[in-house]
Amino acid sequence: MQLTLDAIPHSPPARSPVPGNRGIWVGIFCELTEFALMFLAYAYFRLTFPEDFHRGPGLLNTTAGVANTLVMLTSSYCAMRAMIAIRRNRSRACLRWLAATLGLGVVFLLVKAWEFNWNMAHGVVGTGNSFIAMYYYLTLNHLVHVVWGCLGLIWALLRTWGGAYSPADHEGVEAATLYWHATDLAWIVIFPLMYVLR
Amino acid sequence: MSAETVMTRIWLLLVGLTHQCRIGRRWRLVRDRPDRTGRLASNMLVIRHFMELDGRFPRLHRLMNGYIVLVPALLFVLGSVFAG
Repeated sequence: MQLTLDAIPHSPPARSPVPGNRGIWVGIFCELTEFALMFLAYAYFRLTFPEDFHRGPGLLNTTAGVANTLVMLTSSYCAMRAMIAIRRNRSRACLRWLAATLGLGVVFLLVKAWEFNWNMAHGVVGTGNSFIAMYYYLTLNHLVHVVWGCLGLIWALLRTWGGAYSPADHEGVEAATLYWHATDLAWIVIFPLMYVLR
Repeated sequence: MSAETVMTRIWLLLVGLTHQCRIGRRWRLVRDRPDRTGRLASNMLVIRHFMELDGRFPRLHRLMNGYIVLVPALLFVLGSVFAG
């Protein structure tokens, strides 16, 4: 009797215990731990230098903060629409939604660059004020995570363009969008801490 | 209701919460509790609907919700200890 590989019954692929993949969840929890430590530093400095933190939000450009919050929320919405599209086997629509997510990520970076420029012009620099130092520490770190997220989205975009994903297998799109949502989550905490709370 | 409609409504709600935050600041209404409630609601909406951590992944859902509730509580306690 000849044994071929076809004779061996295939077991169905195991259902992933997490959405996306395990690797991206390690990344997400590392990111959240990093931000948790920064929020701890924020709490310490807020209690140590209450006057700086009371006056601090008034020194910042709130319009830029609100604009970036809306940009992040809208980009997360676009990422979710990309997921819905790929599940319905509409890879061209998925491509468009991913491009919109990435485009909004770039808008976030541009608004941040404009805001930092505005800060410099208005003397909002990190020396001598613990609130402003914390603001740069938190927002620059978040900016780095947005850049990582953009790189992940470019990867998912190119793979989608190459036809790598299907309704049954779209782990790459799911992982890239999950990381993007985690970055959005961090910004939702940073925005009121820096621009609103007094 | 289609998935697109649900997502669009969630997005509009999140935009509304952001504007509430801004209006609150302008009118000096946001001090402590109202802002925390809005922030918590926004985070829970993102975790549940955008990250889709609902019934399919209950452990991860609990873990993420625990993060957004416990971390601020821990910060408050530790911040008080360090500052004291």
